[in-house]
Amino acid sequence: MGGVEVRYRLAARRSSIPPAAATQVYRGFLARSMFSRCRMIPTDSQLFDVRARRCGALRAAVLGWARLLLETSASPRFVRPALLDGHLGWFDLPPAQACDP
Amino acid sequence: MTLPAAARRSGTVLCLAVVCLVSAGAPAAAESAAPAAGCPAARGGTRIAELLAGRRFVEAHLLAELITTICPDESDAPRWRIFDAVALLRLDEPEPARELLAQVAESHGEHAGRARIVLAWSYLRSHDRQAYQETLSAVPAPARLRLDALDAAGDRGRFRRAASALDAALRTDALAAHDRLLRARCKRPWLAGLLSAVLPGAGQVYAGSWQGAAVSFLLNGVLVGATVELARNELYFSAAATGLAASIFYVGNILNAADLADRQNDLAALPARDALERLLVPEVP
Repeated sequence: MGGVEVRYRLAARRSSIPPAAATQVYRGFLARSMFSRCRMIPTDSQLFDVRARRCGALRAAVLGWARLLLETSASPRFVRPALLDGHLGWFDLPPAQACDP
Repeated sequence: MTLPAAARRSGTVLCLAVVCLVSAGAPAAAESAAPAAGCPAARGGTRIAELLAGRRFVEAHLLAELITTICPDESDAPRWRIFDAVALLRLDEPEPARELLAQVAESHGEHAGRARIVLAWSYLRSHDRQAYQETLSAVPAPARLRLDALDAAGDRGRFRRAASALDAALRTDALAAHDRLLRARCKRPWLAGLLSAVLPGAGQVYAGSWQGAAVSFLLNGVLVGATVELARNELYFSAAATGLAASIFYVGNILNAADLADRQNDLAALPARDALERLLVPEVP
């Protein structure tokens, strides 16, 4: 599955920009307390972080919620499956304009 | 965004090893496969097309980059650059792909026309109308008609008008392929959004996601109920905060329903869309 995983996962690890405050709170507290195991590529919080910077908090929150519902519905009928670290994952690349649904 | 350098390096080293093995192990075969070429690595050119056909785009890109680096003066080098550009486009890397296509298009060689067509197709694919129209002017007339037909694929009437300008044989095949495409896109995103606006979760049911519908219905119900209850108890600040959360969940639910319907259409129509593209833009490998 190469390209996309390489691009998003390695880029996220190398990123020197610290995540937005809301993303830090989510990753540090909420995700851990909910035993979150996101299977989306890029992850919900990665995409939320990009959108929060580009589109503002409110829009990012609405789109973030729509993304969580998509994860709930994740099946080959809606998103492309992929093997991610030996587990099933789902590709959902953001559109060129990250503020679009 | 480009592929990270580490991945490029490791892939390039791997491909280099493969090509070296091929060249070292079968030099006579390499010469017979490309007798006119002085560069043994040119033999890998046909492999790029095979990798593209097998949807192995990362490998196709790395091999094309490698061969064009080793054999930059081969007569087939512009063709490999077009293959490389298509692999990059399929990997959602449009900028480097268009740079490659622009280089070939400006070379005025035998592959320049094909590069212009693929360049216009790349803009069409990314819905960049302005750039598409600008590149279309440099495309030869018959290919322009085919690209125009592909551009109109989302609308039955427009497609029929555009297809009427095509050759008779191509027109018949294109209309049949387009009918298959429309049949595969059976969900209406606007209807899914509307249903979820009326009753949260209804659009998700229409799109075929019962899990999404249940989560959406429950959370919207809880949040709207909590907002009303808090307001009735005159806890206005809490009611406003809950109302804001309810609004976010409500709008997100509508967007999700429309998005699910659209995604289902896209995935269901993918084979038909590919077939139509192969028919109308055979220049794209």
